[in-house]
Amino acid sequence: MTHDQQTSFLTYYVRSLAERTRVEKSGTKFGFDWVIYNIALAADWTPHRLPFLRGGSAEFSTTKTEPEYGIDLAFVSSDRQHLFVFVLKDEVLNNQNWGKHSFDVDLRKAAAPDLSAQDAEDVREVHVILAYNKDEDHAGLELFNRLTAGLGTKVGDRATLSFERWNLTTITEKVQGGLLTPSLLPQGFFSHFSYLCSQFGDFRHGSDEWTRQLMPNWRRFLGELLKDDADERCVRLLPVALIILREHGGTNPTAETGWIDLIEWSMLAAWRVHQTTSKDSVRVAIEQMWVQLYVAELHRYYQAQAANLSVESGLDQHSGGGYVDAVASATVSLWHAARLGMLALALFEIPPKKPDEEPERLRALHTVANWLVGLMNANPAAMRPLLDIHHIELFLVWRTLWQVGRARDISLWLMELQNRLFARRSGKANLPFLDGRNSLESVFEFVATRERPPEFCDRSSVFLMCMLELCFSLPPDDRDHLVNLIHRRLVLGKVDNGERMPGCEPIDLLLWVPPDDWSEHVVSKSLAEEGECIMVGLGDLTNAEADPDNLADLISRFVELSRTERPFHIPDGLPISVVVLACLKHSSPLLPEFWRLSIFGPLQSANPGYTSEMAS
Amino acid sequence: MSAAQDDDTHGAADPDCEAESVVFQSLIERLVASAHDEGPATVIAEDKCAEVVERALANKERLFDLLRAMFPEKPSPSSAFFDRLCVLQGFVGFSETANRVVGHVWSAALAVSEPQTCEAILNAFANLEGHTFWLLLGTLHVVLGELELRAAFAVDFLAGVSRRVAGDAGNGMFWRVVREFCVRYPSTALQALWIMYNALGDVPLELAAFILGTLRKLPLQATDRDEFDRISRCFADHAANQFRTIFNQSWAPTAWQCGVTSAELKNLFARHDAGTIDEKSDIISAVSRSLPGSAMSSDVSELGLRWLRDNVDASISSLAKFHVVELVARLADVSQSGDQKTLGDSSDLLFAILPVAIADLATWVAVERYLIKCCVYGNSALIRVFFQLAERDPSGLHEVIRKRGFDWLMNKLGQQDIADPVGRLVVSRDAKQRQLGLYLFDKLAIETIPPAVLDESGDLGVQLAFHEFQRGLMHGESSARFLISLIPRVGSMDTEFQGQFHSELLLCARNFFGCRSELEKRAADIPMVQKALKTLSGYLEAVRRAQTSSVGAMEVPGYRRAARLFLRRFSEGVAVDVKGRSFVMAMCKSVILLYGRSFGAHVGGQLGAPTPMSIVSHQTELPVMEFSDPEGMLLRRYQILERIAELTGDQPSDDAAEEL
Repeated sequence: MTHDQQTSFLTYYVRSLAERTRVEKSGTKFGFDWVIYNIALAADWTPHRLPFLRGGSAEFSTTKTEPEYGIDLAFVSSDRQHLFVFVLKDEVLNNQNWGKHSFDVDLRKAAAPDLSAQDAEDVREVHVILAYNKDEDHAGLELFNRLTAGLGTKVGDRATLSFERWNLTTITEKVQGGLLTPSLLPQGFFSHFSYLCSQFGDFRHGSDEWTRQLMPNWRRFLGELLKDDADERCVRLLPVALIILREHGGTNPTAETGWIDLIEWSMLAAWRVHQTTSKDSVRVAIEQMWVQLYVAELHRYYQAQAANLSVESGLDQHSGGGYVDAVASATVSLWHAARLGMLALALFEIPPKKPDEEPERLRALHTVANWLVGLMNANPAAMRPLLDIHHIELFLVWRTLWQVGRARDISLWLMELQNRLFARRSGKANLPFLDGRNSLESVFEFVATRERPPEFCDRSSVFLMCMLELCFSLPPDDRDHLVNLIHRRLVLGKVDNGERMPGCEPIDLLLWVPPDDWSEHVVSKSLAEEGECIMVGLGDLTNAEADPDNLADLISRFVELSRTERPFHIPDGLPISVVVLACLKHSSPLLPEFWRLSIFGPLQSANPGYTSEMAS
Repeated sequence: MSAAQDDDTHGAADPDCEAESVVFQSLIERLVASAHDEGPATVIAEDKCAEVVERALANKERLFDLLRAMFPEKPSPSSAFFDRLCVLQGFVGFSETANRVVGHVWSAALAVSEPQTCEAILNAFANLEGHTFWLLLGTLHVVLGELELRAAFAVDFLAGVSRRVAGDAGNGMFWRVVREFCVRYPSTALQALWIMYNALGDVPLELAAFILGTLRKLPLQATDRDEFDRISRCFADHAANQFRTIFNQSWAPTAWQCGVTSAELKNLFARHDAGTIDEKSDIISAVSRSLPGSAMSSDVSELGLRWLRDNVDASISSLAKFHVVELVARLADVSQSGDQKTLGDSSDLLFAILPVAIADLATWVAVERYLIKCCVYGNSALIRVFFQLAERDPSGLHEVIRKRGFDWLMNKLGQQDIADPVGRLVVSRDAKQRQLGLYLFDKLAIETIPPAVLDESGDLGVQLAFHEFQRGLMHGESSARFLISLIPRVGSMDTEFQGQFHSELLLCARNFFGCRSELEKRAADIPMVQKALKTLSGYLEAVRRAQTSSVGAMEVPGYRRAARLFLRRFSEGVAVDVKGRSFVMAMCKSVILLYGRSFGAHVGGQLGAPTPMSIVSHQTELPVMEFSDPEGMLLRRYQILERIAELTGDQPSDDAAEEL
C-alpha cells in the first residue's frame, strides 16, 4: 500500500469520527477524542483532564457529565512545565460554525486554565490546541487568528500562553507518524485487536494456526465492527485496522499474502453491509474500499511480484514430501492465479472516470493478463486444478484472457490443461484427478499414502462441464477439436484409439443451478449445499461410453435448454468480481451464467459462441 | 550308573570298549538330561563320536538302552520325539556316519511302535516346521531303507515330503530317500507307482518320474521287471500329456544314476519328432537334464548335445529353457579345463532359447551363474557372452538386472573396459538395446561413449540415444557424463537438435545437483556447457529470489501433515523393501525401540551390554522435476516417444500407449 493510499484511508477514518466517543442506543459512536488521547500518550504526556472515565463498562470509557470549561482534554508534559489544552470540534472551521458550534466560546474558556492544581504547579507554558477533524476556510482561519492574538500571551503571572491548530491533515499526519497501533482503534477493540496484531506477526499465512486461530478471531472482529446497520465510521475503521495489522507483519514472510487474505474477508463483510444499508455514505465508503484498498493493493502487490511469478517453477514448494509437494505447489499457484483473475475482473468492472482513461485501463488489463500468462507458463502447478471448486480459478483465468481478446492464448491454455488432466486421468502421473468433494485433505491423503480415501470422489464434475462450455469462446474448429478431446479423454476416460484407460470410469457431468435467494446469501456463506445439481447427459444414456459425433451441438443445445428452463438473471448492485470473490472464499460453486452470458450472449441471442467481437 | 555297570560287564579290558562305554554313558546322560529339560550333563568333544556310537549300537541291548533313555515313554508323533533325535544328532555330529546313527535309532524307534503310530510319526515329520525337518531329512534315507512302508502310505508320505522340499536347495536329500526306497523295496515302489498312475492329480509329477526312472535300470526280479515294463508303457503311451511327461522326464534320473545308451536316447529323439509341442519341450528338458552325466558315455553325451543344438529354439517351454540354461552352466563347469570350444557351443545353446520371460527368475539366475562361470575363461569371454545376450534379449536382461541386481556380475563387468560395447547398445536402432545400454552406462559408471562408436552410428544413432536418454532416468553424474560424451557430435548437427540438447543440459543440471557439479568439474571449458551453466546460474538466482519473496511463502493447510505422512510411509516402504531384498536383513530380528539412546538384548538367558545407537544412512538424489511437474514429465516422455518414432519411421511402439 502506498503512503498516499494509507494517508487517504486514515484521513477518511479521522474525518468520519465524532468529537466524543459515546455509547448510544443505536451503537457506539467513535470519537476522535480517543485518537487525541492516544497521540498525547504516544508523546509521553500525562493526562491532566480527560472527558471520560477510563475503563468503563464494555471496555468503553464513560463520558463525564461535569462542566468542562471549554477544555476537552488536557495533558502535562513529562517535565511538567508544559500544559497542553485541547479544544475538540468535529466541525469545519468557518465563519458559520465559529459561533454556532462554540469555537469562540470554548477557545476563550480554554485560554484560562486553572493552574492551581497540584499537577500544574510547575507549568510554565500553556499550549491551547484547537483540534478539528475537518477542513477550514479562510474566514475560519481569520477568526481563529484574531481571537488568539487578542487573548494575550500569559496565563496569570507565571505561565506563557500559546495557540495551535490541528486540522484533519495535522491529526492524520500525527496518527501516521506514531499511532499506527491498536491504540488508534476505539477502546473496545483494543485488547482483541492487539491480540490479532501479534498473531498476524507470528502466524504464517495458510498455516494451521492461521486457519484455526487468527481467522476465527478476525471474523469475530469483523462481526463486532460491522454489526447490522453499521455506520460510516465503522466501515472507515476497517481499512485503518488493516493498515495497523500490516504494520505488525514485521518479518513474517507471508505477511503480504496474509494481508490480502484478511482484506478479502473484510471486503466480503463490508459488502454484506453494502447489501443491507440504506446509507449512501456507507455504500460509497465500501465501494471506495473495494477499489482503493483491495483492487489497488492487488495491483500493487502483483506489480511488485510479477517478475517472481514468471520464474520457472518459482512457486514450487519443497518439503521432501514427494508428490505431496506438487499438491502444495498447485494450491499456491492457483491462489495467485485466482488473485490475478480477480484483479483483472475487478479492473474490468471499474468504469473509466473519463473517456481518455480507457486506453490506460485497457493497458492495465493487458498487463494483468500478461502477468497471469507469465505465471502459468512458468509454473506448471498453475495448471493443476485439484478440486472441482477450482472451476472458479478456471473461470477467472479464462475471463482474464477473454476480456482482452486473447482467443489464441485461451485455446493453447485449454489444450495444455486438457493434456495435463489427461495425464492425471490415466493414473500414471502420480496425482489423482479432481476431487468432487473439494477436500484438499483428501487429495493430500491420497497422494501421501497412495491409497484412495473412501470419501474421495472423481466420478462427477462441474469443472469439466465448465471447461467444455468455455471452449465455446473459441473459433469453431478449435472448439470442436478441444470439446471432443475433453469429452473423450477426460469425461469418458478413453485414449485416442477409443479404448478405455484401465481403471477409468466415465465421469458424470454436472451443472449447478443456484437457489432463488442466491443473491441474498452468496456474499455471506457457502451455497455448495444449496440449489440444484443437474446431471448432463450428452450421449446415449443407455451407452454412457458412446462418443457422440455432434458434441458441440449437443452442448450448445443443453446450454440453451438449461438457460430457458432454469432462467437466472444476475441481480444489479453486486459487482461480478465481488460475487466471484465470495465464491472463492466460501467455496461456493460459480454461477454458470457468468461465463454463459459472455460466451453465449443474453438468452435471446440467436448466434451464441465465438463472436467477431471476440476476434477483435 | 546302571549303564556304566553294564559297560563293565561287556568288556572292561579292551581300551576301545572302555572308550565306547564312556561315550555311550555320556550319551545316555545327555539324553536323560534332555528328557528332563535339564542342561547337558557332560560335554563330549570326541572326533570319532559317531563311529563309536555306531559301533555301540550294533549291540541290540545298547540300542534298546538308548531307546529307553531317549523315549522313557513310548515313541509318539510329538515334537518331543523329533527333538530327542535332534539332541542325538547334536551329540554324534553331522557326518554321514552320524546320519546313519540317527536314522538307525529313528527306524528302531519306529520298529518297536505300532504300525499306526509309526505312520503317524512319519506324517508328523512331513509336517515339521523349520530346522528340525531339514536336520532329520538327511537321516531319512536310513529309515526308509530299514523300514518297509505300505505302498499307499509311502505315496502319501513321499508326496508330502516332496511338496515340502520343492524348489529348495536341500531337495537332493529327499531324492536320496526316494532312491533308497526304490532300491530296497522295488516291489513296493512299483505298487506305489501304480497308485500314482491311478491318482496322478494328487501326486507331484517329478516324484513319479523319479521312481520310474530309478526303477528302470535296477536289477529287478522277473515279475517286477514285467510289471515295470507294463507301467512304463502305460505312462509312455498314455493319451494324456502329463503321463507322457512323467515317462519323458523319468529318463533324467535314469541317466544320472545309470546312464542311457545311444539307442535309448534316439528313442527319445523319435518321441520328440512325433510328439506334441509340449512333449517336445519335455524331451528337450529331459535330455538337457541328462547331460553330460557322469554315468553317460562321452559318445552319448556328444549325441545328445548335437541333437539339442539342432532342436532347441525360443519356442520351447519355460521349464525346458531353464534346463537348457542349467545344462549350459554345467557344461561350463565340465569344460573349465580349458576347452574353449565347448563353451562357445554351449553359449550358442543359451542364445538359441532367448528371449527368456522375466517371470522365469530361476532361469535368469541360472544365466547369471553361467555368466559368472564364463569369467574363468577370461574377461573377454564374459564380455562377449554378456553383450551377445544383451543384443539378443535386451529387455529381459535389463529388467532382470534391474530387479535382481546381479551385483557380483555387475561388479565384475564394471572392472572391465566395456565402454565400446555399452556405447554400441546406447546408439542401437533397437529401443530395448538403447535402454539397456543407458542403464549399464549409469549402473557401471561408464566414463564416456567412445567417439568412434558415435561416428559410426551417425546422426541418427546420436539422436536416438539422446531421446532415449530423455525418456529414462539416470543418476545426475551419469547424465552429465553421457551428455558430455555427445557434445563433439552435437556441435556438427542441425540447430534444432542443438537447441533440444541445450534444453536437456539445462533440465538435467536443474534436476540433479550431481549433474551440475559433474558438468562444472568435467566440462566447464566447453562453450555449450558454459552457456548452459551460465543460464542455469541466472535461473537459480531468480528462483532463490522468488522463493524468498512472499509469492511462494504462504503455507497450505494440511501440507506439513501430508509431507510427514508421506515421509513416514516412504520410510516404512524402504524398510520393507530392504528387508525383502536383503538375505541378511530377512534373518535378523527387527525390534522397534520406543525409548532410550542405547540398545540391550536379553537372549538365551544372557543380557548383553548396552550398544549405543548409530545412524546408518544412504543418500540418493531424486530428480526434482519428476515431483515438481509429474504430468509435464509424463507428457514429455510421450512426446519423445513420438519423436523417436518419427526418426525411426516406425509407428510409436506399445511403450507409447503404456506411457498414457
